[in-house]
Amino acid sequence: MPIKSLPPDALYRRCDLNLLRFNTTDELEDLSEITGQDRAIDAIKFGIGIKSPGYNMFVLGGPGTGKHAMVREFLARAAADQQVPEDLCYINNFDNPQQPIALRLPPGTAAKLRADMAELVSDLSSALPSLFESEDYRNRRQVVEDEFKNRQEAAFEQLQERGKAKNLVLIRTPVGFAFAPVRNGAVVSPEEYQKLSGDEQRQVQTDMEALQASLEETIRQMPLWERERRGRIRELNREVTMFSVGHTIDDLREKYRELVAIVRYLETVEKDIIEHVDVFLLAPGERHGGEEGAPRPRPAVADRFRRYEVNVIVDNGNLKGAPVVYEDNPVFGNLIGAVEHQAEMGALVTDFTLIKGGALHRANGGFLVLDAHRVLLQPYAWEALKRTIRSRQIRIESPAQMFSMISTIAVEPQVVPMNLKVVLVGDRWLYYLLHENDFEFHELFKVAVDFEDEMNWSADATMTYARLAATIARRENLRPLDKPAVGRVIEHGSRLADDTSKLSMRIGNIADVLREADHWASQSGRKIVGVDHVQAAIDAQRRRSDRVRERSQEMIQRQLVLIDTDGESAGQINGLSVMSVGALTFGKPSRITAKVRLGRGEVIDIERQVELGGPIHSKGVMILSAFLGARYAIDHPLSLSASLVFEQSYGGVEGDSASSAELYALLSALADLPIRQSFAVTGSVNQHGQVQVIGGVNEKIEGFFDVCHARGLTGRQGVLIPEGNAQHLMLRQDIVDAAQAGQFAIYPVRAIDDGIELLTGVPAGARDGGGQFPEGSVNRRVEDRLIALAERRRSFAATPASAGEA
Amino acid sequence: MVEHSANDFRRILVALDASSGSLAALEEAAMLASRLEAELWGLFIEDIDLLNLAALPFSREAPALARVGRLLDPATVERELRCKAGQARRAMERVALSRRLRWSFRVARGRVEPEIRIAAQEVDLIALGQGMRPLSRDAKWGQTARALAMSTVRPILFAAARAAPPEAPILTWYAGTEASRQSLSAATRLARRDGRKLVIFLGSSDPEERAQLELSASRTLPSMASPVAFRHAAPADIEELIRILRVEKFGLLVIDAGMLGDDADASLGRLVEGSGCSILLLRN
Repeated sequence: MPIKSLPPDALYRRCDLNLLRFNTTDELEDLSEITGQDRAIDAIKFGIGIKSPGYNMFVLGGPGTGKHAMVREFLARAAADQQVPEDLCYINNFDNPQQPIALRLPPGTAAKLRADMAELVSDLSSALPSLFESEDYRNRRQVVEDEFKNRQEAAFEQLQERGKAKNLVLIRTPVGFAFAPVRNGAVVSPEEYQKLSGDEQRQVQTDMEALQASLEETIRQMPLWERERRGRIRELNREVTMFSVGHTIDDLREKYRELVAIVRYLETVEKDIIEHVDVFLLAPGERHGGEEGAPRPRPAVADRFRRYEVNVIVDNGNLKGAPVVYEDNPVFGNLIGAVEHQAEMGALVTDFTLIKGGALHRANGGFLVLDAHRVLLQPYAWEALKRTIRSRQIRIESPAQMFSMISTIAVEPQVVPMNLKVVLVGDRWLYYLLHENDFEFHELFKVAVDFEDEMNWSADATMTYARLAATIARRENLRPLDKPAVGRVIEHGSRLADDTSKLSMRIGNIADVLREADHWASQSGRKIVGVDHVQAAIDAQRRRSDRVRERSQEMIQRQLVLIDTDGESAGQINGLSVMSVGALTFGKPSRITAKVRLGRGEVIDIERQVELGGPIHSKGVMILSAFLGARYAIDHPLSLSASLVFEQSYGGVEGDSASSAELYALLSALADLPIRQSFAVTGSVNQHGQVQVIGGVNEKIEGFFDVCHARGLTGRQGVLIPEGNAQHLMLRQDIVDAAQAGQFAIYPVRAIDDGIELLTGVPAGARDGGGQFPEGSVNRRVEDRLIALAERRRSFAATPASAGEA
Repeated sequence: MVEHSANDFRRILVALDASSGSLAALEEAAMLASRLEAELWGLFIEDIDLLNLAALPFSREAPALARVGRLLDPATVERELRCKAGQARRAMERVALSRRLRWSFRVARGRVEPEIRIAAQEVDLIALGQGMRPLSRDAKWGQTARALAMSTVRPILFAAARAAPPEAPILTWYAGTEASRQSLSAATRLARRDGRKLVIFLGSSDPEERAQLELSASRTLPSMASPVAFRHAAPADIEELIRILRVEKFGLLVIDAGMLGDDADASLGRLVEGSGCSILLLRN
């Protein structure tokens, strides 16, 4: 019984506008609940609630499903009820500047401490110089200086007095001092010395030697006196500094008396200022020097007050609840922080003030959302993230340090305990890839939040989708949509899902249509988006990316690519394939031809032979051999050699959706029955000859329709699709209209026999009680041909020349 | 009576021994020479007393940075003096080139103070360092400097060990005398040339007298673009002057030798040692 074409209303599921109980989307409330994602929502709630380590989340789903926004919204809601975490800042470790100290302070305290310290330094930098320039200080210092100067002078004076008595004078040499004999105010020359008597010469020598010994002893004492003087000056400076600093710091000590860490820090600051008071006494731009006696500080950078700065890494002072941080650029440094450097005198130097926090610091105590793909693309970021989660500590170090590639002295900031949930968002394939290849992944990301790509198109879903459109329109300040416009959006959602019983959850695509429809409404000067604007948006989207499809159609129309849409031909059929180019997916007919001859029972996939066919396509072709062998002449060896080819295909073929078309072409060639070229075929086939569903049915039908339409619809043209694909039909309106007018037809095919009858106009035929197919039927003709081929082969095998081949 | 003006300093002699004090004097003199477009003369003296001492067979020295003394021998001393002279010359060349000065440098052998005095006959100003540590309370400041100050009629610049900023103000002491009027004129011209502030130290316990002094000083001042201020003190003496110089940041004290009083030697010594400021000693 010939199969009937599908009625026009089966080619497109229209949205029942009676289910939409509003005039425009302005009347609808925002969608507060996320629908159709129960599994994902349960998983998120579980992931947020469970406190055990390793229960970080991986949110997986197709692109544009809104998983990013949804997850962040959920996290924000959960975070609002949680405690605001502590601030984090780094302070100088005065004992070991290479290891800055991390201070964790109540929210808002770090910034206050930073301001207080800046004020303290400012106060001291004006107060201390004044103090040290005061007359009191100068007088006290002068007393010390005079004491030591007098001691030194007295020593030299004594020496000089002793020398004077012996006619010796103390003079300077280029590197020290010496006693010289004088006569008449001048040093005795060698000639004068020679004129002295022997006794006088000996006396001079003896006197000089005696005084020289005393002089050397005095010289030896000088460094000791100098050290003592410096000590006394240092003690004086300390006393004076303590007077000023202690008073100033006491205020801070009182202010932060309940924060032990700060009080302890202030003690070290006080001690350090006293030790390094000279940094406060330098003139602007002066790098060292200052008060004699005080040890010179070693500032890492030019600014001498940096050692007293507070480097605030995290300031949660303005936060309500726990933080939800999304790091858009998760490079290594942005994740775990970094110690930056700056050039000083041709070298790169650093200190605690150049520590930069990362997203992990900012999110500590809350949630960190990352794009999994981006994390994996950044060198070392994934390893750093895993290590941090595993150790539950944030350790700031460079990749070179992390992998022990350098061993130079560097700043090693104190590690910070980590307590946060990491939420990775990524594509589904990425999740499975990580699961398969990274043995730590499962341990660290135990919660999979799997987002659906589609939802069932029920009556409730219709209204939900309408509210979704309303929510998007309102949030993005778009014009409201009227009821038919919403209906068209919903239908488009079904088309995106490629299923009349589903609606796409790829919110991004729907939002694009709404934005663009709003644009077209704006162009029309309308305040409400109508169905025409939605259609214009959909058409324009397609039009913008349609160039390749148009070129493909043009080549068919110009018969550069040979596709018949009328007439008959044996062993030749129109198959349908789908091409994806960027955002566009479109169908395109391809001529498939089959040739048979005597052979050893193989069906040759020419695409595969030249490595243009993929494995699934080859599988489909092999199924054809199995089908032929199992159905026809089962007591004869399959003795044909058949070749199948996608004509004018140069880009490779994959998938088995053309296997039914290939089988039809093969049967046509075997039976020597022509196939009507006004048909195109899609669908895979199994060994039993059943036609199975394929993907992209809408695009494929539209591809063939466009060719036929361009050449003129004859009323005989149509497409054979698997019966199971009838529920996926969401065809264009022009196709529905053509079907309505009887100019184009879609045939649902359950089995190969149904299809071959339609294509050849000859009954397929079923075996009778004697196991024979009816005379003249397609199957009888095929079987007879195969038996004939088997007989021929047997006869060849019997000849001596071919005996070796059997 | 000779009236000195800053414009008279066409040749400035710097006595160099490569010590930090003499190098500070070089810098100060070079700055002054640059402002006055003067020529800079450097003089290094190989001390004949030292050479004579080194020639004695048993002479020893106590090096400042050694725990034991060593024999002095003429060859070593000559080598060390040549080395010092080389250092002084290089310093001179560097400073002069950086300021684009006309300059000369020579080495003389003899006794230090007479050699400088001889060289000073050909110059308008002698620049000396203050930095040398005195050896005894009797010699509060360098014997050479003291001897020169007392013996030469040339103005002397005693350069401070630590240079003041170029914009630091100039201080002069005005007492209504002709000598102080001359130093006020010189200080005024220097301040005007550099655009520096001029501070005039006026001292008298009598307020009326102080007012008269201020009026008198004002009349002496030519029209000036740079600011002028008066500092009153009672009493006005060297000690008060030193106190002001120590507390405030002055770049230069311009003072006439006549203001130093009867014990000029001691007064100048206290000023040089206690002020921490460069001093331009004029002679009228």
